[in-house]
Amino acid sequence: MNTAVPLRERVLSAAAATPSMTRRQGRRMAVLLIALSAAVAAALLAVVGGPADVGESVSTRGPIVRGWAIAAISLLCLVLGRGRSTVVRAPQLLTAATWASPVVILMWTLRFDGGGASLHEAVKGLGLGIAVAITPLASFLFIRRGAEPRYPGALGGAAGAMCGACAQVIVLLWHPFTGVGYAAVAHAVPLVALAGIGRVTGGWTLASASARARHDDTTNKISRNQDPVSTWSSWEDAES
Amino acid sequence: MKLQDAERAALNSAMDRYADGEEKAFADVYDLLAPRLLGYFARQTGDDALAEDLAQQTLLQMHAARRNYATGSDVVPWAFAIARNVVIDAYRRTRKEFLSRATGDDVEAMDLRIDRSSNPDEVAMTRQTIDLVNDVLCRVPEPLRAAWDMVHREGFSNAETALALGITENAVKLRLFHVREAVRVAIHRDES
Repeated sequence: MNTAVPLRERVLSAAAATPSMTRRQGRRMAVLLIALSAAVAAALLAVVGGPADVGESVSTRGPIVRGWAIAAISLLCLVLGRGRSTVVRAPQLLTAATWASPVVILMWTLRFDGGGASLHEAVKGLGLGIAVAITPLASFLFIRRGAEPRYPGALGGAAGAMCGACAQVIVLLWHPFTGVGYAAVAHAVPLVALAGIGRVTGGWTLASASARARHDDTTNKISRNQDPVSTWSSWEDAES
Repeated sequence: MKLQDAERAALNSAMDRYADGEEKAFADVYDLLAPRLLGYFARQTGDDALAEDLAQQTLLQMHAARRNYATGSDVVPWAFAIARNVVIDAYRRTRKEFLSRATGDDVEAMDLRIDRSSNPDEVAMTRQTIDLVNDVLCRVPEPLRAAWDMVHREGFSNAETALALGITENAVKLRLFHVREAVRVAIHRDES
């Protein structure tokens, strides 16, 4: 530490020497990345042959895609929106939304009678869902990197699941099959996989300082160097 | 050191301007926030030089993350959420035991509460109680002490503390209750 220079001067000169993105630049970057994600999604849909006309699934395409698009966007706003707060929503909400989204999409698709498809098609759907979701997830992690002081892992997991949910619009547009096996593999599994990917990568990229440090037992080791006084022994249990 | 409403509004406004690209506003953010951060870090680490380093890290992280500052949001809980991680991170790097301690400001504040005309025994007893409380605060787990410090030393409301620590208001109340109980038990033991 350079004690010869006053702290104020040190902080202001260090900030001046390391330019950071302003809010306006951040918004512009976000719009660009959303456009890029949409373009990549359209390109991937074209690569797999576009919306397929296969049997009875064609008639269900309109309602199933429209409904899921509304649900996915609502979930996205609910989970990733922050309103007038810089910190994210409660971790319980993030975690609940993350793990509820695969169940919700499964229940939604099973309401329709679009017929089943082979495992090969389901695996293609799985791959398409993950491929479409990777760009928006990476964009989110880039835009929000180093900005989450409390729950980067939970936010990353929620972001992964929500990007997966939006990507499912493309998968449903491609093949709106609704058989149980197909729906589980092509629609639910990608959301679980993306939530896991988001949780791991988000824990590293979104954390400000070492928010990840909070996930180990460091906090409980700090100052626990003497005999406990006893009254707080069960506080963690009580809180949970 | 508590931040008055006017200062808090000025801090939020300064951060808002800084997030929008007005570079000079960071000096205002520094002037309004740094004394509080320095006090917090000094209490957490008991090392003034380290406290300066940690305050610098916190402010620079806020600078780096300004694009994510939400319009009209409260800066203080966000800043202290970062500050807490910075302390934990410093602990991990140094593997040093940080003991909460009373800073010069706190001791002065305690002195003011002791009536100078009181008899020496009362003054001694008050000082002993203060030492006992500080001792208990040194020994409670960090999550409990963080809640206690934010409410009783930084002047946060329960809601702000909940926001900074990422827990519910009920959890904050529960943590405060456990610290109070620990103090009560320690005083009872001391008396008996």
